[in-house]
Amino acid sequence: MSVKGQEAFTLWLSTVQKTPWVTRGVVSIEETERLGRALWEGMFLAASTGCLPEVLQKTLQEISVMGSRNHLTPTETAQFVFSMRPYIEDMVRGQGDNLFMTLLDEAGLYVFEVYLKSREAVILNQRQDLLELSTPVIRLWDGILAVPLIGTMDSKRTQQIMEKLLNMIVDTGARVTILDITGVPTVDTLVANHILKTAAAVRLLGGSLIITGISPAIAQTMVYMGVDLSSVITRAVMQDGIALALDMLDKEIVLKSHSTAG
Amino acid sequence: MTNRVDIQREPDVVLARQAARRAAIEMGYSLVDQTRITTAVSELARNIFLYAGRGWMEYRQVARSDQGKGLEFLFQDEGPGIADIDLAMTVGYTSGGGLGMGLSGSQRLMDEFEIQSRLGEGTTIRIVKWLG
Repeated sequence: MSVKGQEAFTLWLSTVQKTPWVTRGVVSIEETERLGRALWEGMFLAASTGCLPEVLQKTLQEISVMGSRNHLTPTETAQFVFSMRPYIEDMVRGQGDNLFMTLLDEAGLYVFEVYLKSREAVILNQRQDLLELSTPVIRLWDGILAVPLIGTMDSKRTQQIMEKLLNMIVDTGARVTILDITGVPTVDTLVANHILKTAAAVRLLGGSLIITGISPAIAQTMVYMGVDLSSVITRAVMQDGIALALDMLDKEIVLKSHSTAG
Repeated sequence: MTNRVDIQREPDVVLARQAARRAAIEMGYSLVDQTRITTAVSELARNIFLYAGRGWMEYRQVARSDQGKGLEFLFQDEGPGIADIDLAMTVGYTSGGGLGMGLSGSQRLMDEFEIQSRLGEGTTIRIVKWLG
């Protein structure tokens, strides 16, 4: 590095040290110097080839990941790169400065892009976790199972719940199952189809399926679409479902005083 | 302003649905209309995933002098296309093991429904619900 270059580089580093990168302790001063040097040299290498070389891309990736992991905003993260501009401008004035500034923009945008991608990956993972929240099959009473469905009922998860439910029916010898869909925000034809299939499978095992928790808005939507759920026993709320299930098993809940008096 | 949701994986169907519900709530649709819009979007977004593999949904607020404000959704894919649209719109017809009510049902849930398809080129579906 030339004397002039070294000077500009040092000046730039002292600027970086005033950004959240250092003030918030994302990187140490030594680390800033290492990353800064790699970035600085990478940019000059880029200027000689006209594109971002692989070694520079690696440094930029490192910067993005560090920024996003340490909760810097995308702007603060890209600042590491863009803060070079005035110092570089002084150095390359008149000699390919246009190319250099274009490359600097590219490098900054690259940091931005990698940052967003790493965030997206986190969101995707979380989304997957939510989808895979397991649904319990509850033994509500002797012979009665309850399944509170919550969230989206897309393919795989529904399949798992159905299998679990059918196995539980066989294991416990339950005769009635209550499937509550209060926590399912959207019932489209796929979900309706799953409900119909579950009901048919439960019937094959000698049991009955009661669906509860269909909201008035969902009921109207189903009717508009022409989905026919009349082959399935439904009740408005879980409470009615439990009452019906007990009734089907010739059981009833009575007041304590009543039963002791009788 | 037009918003866009890419549909490439099954969870994207959920994202499309959530975006639709948010837009409907923001514009002040009734709960029943929110549910209708969300359900229709769910059907059509899933169709893209199931039959074309990938595509996208665009949506925006629209206005017409006789209808007032509304919400328009555009579903586009570059999938295999639909050979016989009338057949695909028939209640109970399915080529994918479903109930066969997705397309016809969505049409009934919305105020406007337009479908264009070319074999080997893809399918475009436009739906609108007026705020009324």
